[in-house]
Amino acid sequence: MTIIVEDVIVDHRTENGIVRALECETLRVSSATSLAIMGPSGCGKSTLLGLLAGLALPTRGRVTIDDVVVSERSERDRVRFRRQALGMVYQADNLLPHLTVEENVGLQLAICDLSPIDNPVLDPAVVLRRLGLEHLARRFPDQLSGGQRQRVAVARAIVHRPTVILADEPTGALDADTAAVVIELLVEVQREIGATLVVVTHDPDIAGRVDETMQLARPTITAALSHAH
Amino acid sequence: MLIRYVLADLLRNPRRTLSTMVGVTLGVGLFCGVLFFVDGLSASMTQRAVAPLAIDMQRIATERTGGSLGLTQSFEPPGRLAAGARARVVLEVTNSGDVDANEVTVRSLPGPGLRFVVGSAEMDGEPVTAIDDSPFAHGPGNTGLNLGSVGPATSHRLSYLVEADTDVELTDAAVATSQSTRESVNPVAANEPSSVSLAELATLVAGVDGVADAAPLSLADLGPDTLSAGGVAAAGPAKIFGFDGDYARRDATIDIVGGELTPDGAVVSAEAADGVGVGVGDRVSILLPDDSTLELPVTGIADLSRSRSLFSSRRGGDLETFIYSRNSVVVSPERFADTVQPAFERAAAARGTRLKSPPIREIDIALDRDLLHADPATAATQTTRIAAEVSAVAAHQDYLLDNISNTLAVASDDARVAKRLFVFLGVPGGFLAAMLAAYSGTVLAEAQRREQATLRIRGASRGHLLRMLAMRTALLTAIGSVVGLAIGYLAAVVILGQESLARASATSLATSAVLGTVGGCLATGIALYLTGRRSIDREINEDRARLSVRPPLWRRAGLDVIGVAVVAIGTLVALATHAFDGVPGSVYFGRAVELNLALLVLPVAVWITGSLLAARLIGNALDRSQPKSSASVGRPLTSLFRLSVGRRPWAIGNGAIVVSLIVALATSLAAFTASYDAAKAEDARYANGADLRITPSPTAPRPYTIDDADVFATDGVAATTPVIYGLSNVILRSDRTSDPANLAAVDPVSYPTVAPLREIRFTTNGAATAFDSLQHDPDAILLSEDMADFLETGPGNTLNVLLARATDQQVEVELHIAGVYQRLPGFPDGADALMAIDRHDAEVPTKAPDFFLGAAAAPDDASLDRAVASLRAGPGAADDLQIDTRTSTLAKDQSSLAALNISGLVDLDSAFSLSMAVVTIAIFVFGLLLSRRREYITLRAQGLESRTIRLLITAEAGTVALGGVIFGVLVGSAMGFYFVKVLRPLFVLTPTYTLPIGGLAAPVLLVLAATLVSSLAASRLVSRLEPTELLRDE
Repeated sequence: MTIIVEDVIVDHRTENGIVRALECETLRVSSATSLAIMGPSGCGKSTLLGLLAGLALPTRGRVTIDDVVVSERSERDRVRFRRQALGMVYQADNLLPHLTVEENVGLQLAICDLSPIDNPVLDPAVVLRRLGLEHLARRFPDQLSGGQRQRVAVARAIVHRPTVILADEPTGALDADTAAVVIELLVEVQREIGATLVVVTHDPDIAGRVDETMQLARPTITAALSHAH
Repeated sequence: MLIRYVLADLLRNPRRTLSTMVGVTLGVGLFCGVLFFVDGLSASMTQRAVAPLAIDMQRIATERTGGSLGLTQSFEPPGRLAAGARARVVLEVTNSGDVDANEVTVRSLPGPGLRFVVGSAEMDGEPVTAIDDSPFAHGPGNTGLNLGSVGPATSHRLSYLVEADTDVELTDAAVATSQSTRESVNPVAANEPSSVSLAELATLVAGVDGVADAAPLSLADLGPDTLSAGGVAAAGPAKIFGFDGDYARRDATIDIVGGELTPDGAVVSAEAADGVGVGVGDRVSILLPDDSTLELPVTGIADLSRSRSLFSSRRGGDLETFIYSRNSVVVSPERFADTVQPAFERAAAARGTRLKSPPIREIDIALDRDLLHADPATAATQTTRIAAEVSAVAAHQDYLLDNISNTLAVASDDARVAKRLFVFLGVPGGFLAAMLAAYSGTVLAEAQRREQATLRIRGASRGHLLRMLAMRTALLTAIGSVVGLAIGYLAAVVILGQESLARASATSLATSAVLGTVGGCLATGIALYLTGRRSIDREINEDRARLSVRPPLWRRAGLDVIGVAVVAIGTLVALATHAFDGVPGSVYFGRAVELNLALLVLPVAVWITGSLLAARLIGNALDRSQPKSSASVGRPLTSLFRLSVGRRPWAIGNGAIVVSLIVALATSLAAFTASYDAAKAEDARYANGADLRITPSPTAPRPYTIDDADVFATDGVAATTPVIYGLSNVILRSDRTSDPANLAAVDPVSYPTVAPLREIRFTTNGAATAFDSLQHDPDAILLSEDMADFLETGPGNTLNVLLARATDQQVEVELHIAGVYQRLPGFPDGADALMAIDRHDAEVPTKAPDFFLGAAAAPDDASLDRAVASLRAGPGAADDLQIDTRTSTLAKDQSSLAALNISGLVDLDSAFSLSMAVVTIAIFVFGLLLSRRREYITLRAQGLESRTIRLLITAEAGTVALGGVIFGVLVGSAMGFYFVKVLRPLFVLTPTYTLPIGGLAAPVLLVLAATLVSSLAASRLVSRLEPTELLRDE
């Protein structure tokens, strides 16, 4: 899926006025490629990722994914888009603590109303095996190490074979070795399933493993916007 | 610095602050509300207790029918008597009346230091020699000298010598001398001032501080056929009263329907006027005991049938009995004193024996009730002081019946019981408030966990965090307490009314405010602090371990099992010792309600144990229901729900405990109130005889017969039945003995359908069989247990009954005893025998029913009101009907029950409980949201519909609510049952446990509605959360 961002601005209302969180003139990620978004803290990387996921809407501008203007769709449509096309990995694993590893992964399929019976490649067991997690399938997240948990998060993000994978600092909480393993997995799987991958990161090593890198600058105007809008 | 941070934290998280503070507010509000309620109630107890009292105090003049006998004592020489010296004690007995004083006995006993000189006694100058020791204090009993009869205007001089062992001042105290007569057996000390007249006494008593009014009343029983006119005598005994127009005007129940009371005339009761056929302007003859006749013009006709001041019994221990005499005549006080009283005195002197029923002369005293303190105990002190002052006025010539102090003494005992009871009923609410505070504290701690972790990372020590917690707790409890204080006061005002609270003293209210605020503050503050402290002490890394299905502390400690043992053992002990059996209170018997407060532990134990057991069942069931791990998850909503509740069962269980406790308390209070109201209504219905008791006025133009019951079957009246009843209206004669008795004649078919009969009241064969006998066997009669014992007879034996006793219609019939009962409804004075009204009518056809009993169409009060309205509009429009209902009987109830206003307290408790239920559910839901928002946001990011998330939240909250409600109702039912058992002494009849299913709908629906609304609100909040930020946060 091709991702296009055009003239996007995100402003947040605060007690002290309006603060600009993101300013992105243009961004294009071709289908089945990968992009790393880098930039200083506060430049709006995660905000941009939220826009791509349809979790937030821009104050101005358009976000188009595969000819669908996500930023103009309803919440229901955006939820459907996330369910069908999106896989997400975060710095925090965000696994459901009361679900086992296989249940966390299987739940994504259930949400997407997909069944491994119809399509064996969607079998969570296969995915877990692919990620080296098959022996941990019945463990709860609090029984795993940080790296293991993040691999489970990756498994959850790809089990339904999404066309877009969004990763927000996926290795931020991991040591370098574990981070390398996780990012390697992510890229491998992305290529394997032909998804478009967008990774937000501070890590140049990760940026070096993806097809393209984009530097996002801090918004040009921040607090000065107050009351002007 | 810390305080600024805490303040900022509280202000910037208003939802969190408010949700925590609401527990404190409700807790303090409930504590204060209950205490203010008790203040207000105590402030109205005096007025409620004395309201039904007909006469506050009665100065009863002692029997002086034997004439005015005086006794003086003097000493020759007077003054101080040196040791070894002698003096003569001179006693002068004088009869200044106009009739003989009989059996005049003079008793004189020298005090310490004085000795009687043997042989020195003289009477009218003659030595009294027949007795070896002192003839004035003879033998071990110090018997006095009997002078025999002392005629009018006669005096006797008695004297004797005393010798001093030590120096003695010769005063009345040094030698105790008194006189008594056959007519006036109470000894009167020598040198007592001469007795004042009744009118003078009334004037003196009226001047006592605190007395509003004092009026003389004289009354005497006359024999049968003593009231006549033109040769026609009124059937049955008569009663004569002496009082003036002021007395009549003061007592609204004395209804002079025609004419007036004049000094020279007589007012005749309506029944007597009908009986002898006189009206105003005619003359009546009254045959007095000395066989003289008093002829007076009839100047008025009166309906006296409701006058409690005239017809209440004057016998001690029986003061509540209303002894009505149909044949009554009222004369002026002067006429009574000049003519009636002397006639009795002459009769007493002539017959040589004491009169069986001498005239009673009394001063009826009304106190200024507005001056009485609102608290019955303090008011009792006031009335006791007034009583002492009243007694001191012209003392020794009579005695005082202090009805109001007796009533207030019982009321003050009841007030003490009520306060303990109220505080007890308030304690569960307080416990709930503390739990709620702890629960909200847990949620607050959960919400602050992350912030505290951040503060620790930045260098904050445990001490810093604890100080901040203490500040936060202090601020929350302080503000919550102030708001709670206001809410508690307002709640008490709403339930009791501003007027009741205004009557309470400022000190009492201030004390309650301080106690309620400090108590509530401490309970909720400690709960809040401890939960926060536990959270601080918990290591951050333990967060994930919370997933552990390890049961909570109470479960591991087996508190629920211990509770079951406590309840079981406590119940067994109570049953074995008959501790549940109580004795009801009675003002008349001077007995306050006695509650075994130790037993109140049982309902509380049932409450807590039941809720813990409920949580155990819920937790275990959910634990077992969790599915095994599988990659095939199934439908998201059901799977997520099953996995969530199955793997976190104790979160649901603990939430259910709080809901169960609240619903159980509301249920038990509803059950107790329903049982209480039903039992009180049943008590009143039993006392009244039925829902309705219709007594035609004696002045009613229409005579009613036993066939006139249908006249009263108006709209809203389902059935009516006639009743003939009178005090000592028959003589019952068995093979062994006979006795005057109160007979009731009823219709055996309609009476059981109208009157509340209970099988247990019949000791033989049951009510149905007994009334069946009356219906089919005209010779059957039922007898009370007491009367059967007295007559030494029983079922199957014959009994001779003299019907219409002491009337010209009297007739003796031979009946046989068909059954024995304990007591019957509708006859507070007791019905000794019961026969069929048709048989009575056949024997005494002229006897009209004394009253009719009626059943309302439905048991509710509205139906009863409708029935009364239709009676007033129907037959009541033509005739003056006295309509007593179960509610009016209940209102007249002078016992502590009426004053307790338990319903008000229950309303207060219920209102706070329901508020807490709503808050608990809200806190649970929002707590869920706080602790799981990341889960919900993750699910949103994964593509789960908002609707599904909303349903998930609702399902979890609903499980807590539903589980809590179901078990709460069950636990509350058991708790209510124990409440009724423990509070048994509040009822006269054994109360039937009533669970108001309809009444439970409100709290149940409220809890469920709160669940739904909270869940929807929480779902909206989930939708408004900023997912990008939440998802990236670690």
